[in-house]
Amino acid sequence: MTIDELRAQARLRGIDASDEDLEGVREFLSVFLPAVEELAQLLPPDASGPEPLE
Amino acid sequence: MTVVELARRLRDGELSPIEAVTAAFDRIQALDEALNAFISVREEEALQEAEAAARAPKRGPLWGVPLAVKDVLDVAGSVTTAGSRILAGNVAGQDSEAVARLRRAGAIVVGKTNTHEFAYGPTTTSAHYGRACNPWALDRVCGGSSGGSGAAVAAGLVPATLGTDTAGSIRIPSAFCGVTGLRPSTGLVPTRGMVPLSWSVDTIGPMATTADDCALLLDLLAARKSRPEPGDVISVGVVERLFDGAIEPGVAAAARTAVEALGEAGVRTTSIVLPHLDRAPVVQQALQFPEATSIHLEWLRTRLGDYGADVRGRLLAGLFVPATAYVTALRARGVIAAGFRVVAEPFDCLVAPTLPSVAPEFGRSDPLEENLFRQGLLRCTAPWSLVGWPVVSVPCGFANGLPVGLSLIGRRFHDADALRVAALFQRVTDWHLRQPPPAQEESAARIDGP
Repeated sequence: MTIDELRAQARLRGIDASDEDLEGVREFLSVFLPAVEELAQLLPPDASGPEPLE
Repeated sequence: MTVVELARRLRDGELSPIEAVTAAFDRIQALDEALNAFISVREEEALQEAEAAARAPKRGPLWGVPLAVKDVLDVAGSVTTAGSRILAGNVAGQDSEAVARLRRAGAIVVGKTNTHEFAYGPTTTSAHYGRACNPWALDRVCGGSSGGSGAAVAAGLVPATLGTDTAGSIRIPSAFCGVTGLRPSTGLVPTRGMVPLSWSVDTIGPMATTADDCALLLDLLAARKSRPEPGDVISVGVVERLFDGAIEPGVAAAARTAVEALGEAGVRTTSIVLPHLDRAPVVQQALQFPEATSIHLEWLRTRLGDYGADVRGRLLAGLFVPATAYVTALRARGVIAAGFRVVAEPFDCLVAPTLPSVAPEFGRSDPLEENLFRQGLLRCTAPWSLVGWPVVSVPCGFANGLPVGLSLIGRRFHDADALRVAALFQRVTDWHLRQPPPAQEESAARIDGP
């Protein structure tokens, strides 16, 4: 996502973030979201969610 | 002095509650200007409570014991700032449940300890209340987010404190400051009256000198009994992966020597491999980021400029973690917990270094370096948070003159097993009794007199 896209999404939620803050967010997401996506591909289809308390 | 010993001396009449509380304030006055472990103190209230305790006929197990609590936990009539500007005027109407339980047992709360803003960071370098310093080296961080709680115990200001731990916030300052800290099983200690960070992962736990102190405090804090397994410690599983890779050599060496000490004490040590261990931090963050942002959403709209830059950045990041990522993390947590449980089942507990490094110096300004530091910590701490397992961090040696922590990790609601192994370790070592220089000097001054 670009800074403009992040800014637009933040404004939709009523938040007016600075470009400097959004640049940090963009850098974080560029590493974090692919890692989550990779994880999703590895999960077995029957992985259904959190376990109940022991 | 340990909680167990102080409580005994109070019970036996060797010391009065007023003397115990006064001694705590004397040490706070002498040392906290340099440490900044406290955000606020309750001197007048605590001394009144000590006088009332001295007259009270009913005496609980912590009768007259002075304690401090992290400033994210409500104490009736005191401000709970959570280390933030946003909550600077937030006076609590009633005690948090954890504080209420300790006070019912006779404890006297002397103050609120410094924390990373909203408990959302590992260094306790508050833009609003100042940085808390490590008693072992004042130019180094004490860890976080329960940094003030760790520093206060290490310097002997109070015999024990309460901290909170979401992704490592009790264990990080415990290891950096050389104290014993327990992150209980998630759900074991009620969190009502705590400023939350991440609902599904937040915990409240004790920080003290010994595992026996932590066990005593957990008994009073817990909503339910953990499952004690009486008998000798037979075997521990060694999480080899965390002894290798991005870990300072001196830290790894101290942790390995600690495992050898357990072996010499008759414990069988077995190397184990936990499935998906390296992926656990990403899963934990995929849960924590949106949960934290959800909590702060209204303040992000109205008070954005009142957050420190690092916490503001993390909270904004959580805004963009999609719901699908959160669901993926929920599914992955189940898979990881099941895999961990199968491997851990045969052991009394698991053992690993608490952290990959000793306390760093203040002043890390490069964002990339800061992120690598955080990720390094999370690699060691986040897996156990994710699955809700209890962890006791015990001092296990020194590297470059600074404390190193060892984690004893139990299965969920088997907190007593981890505490039992920690207590065994502290019977055969004395790392937990070492004191940092300021505490030593103050102790000597008090013994020698003016």
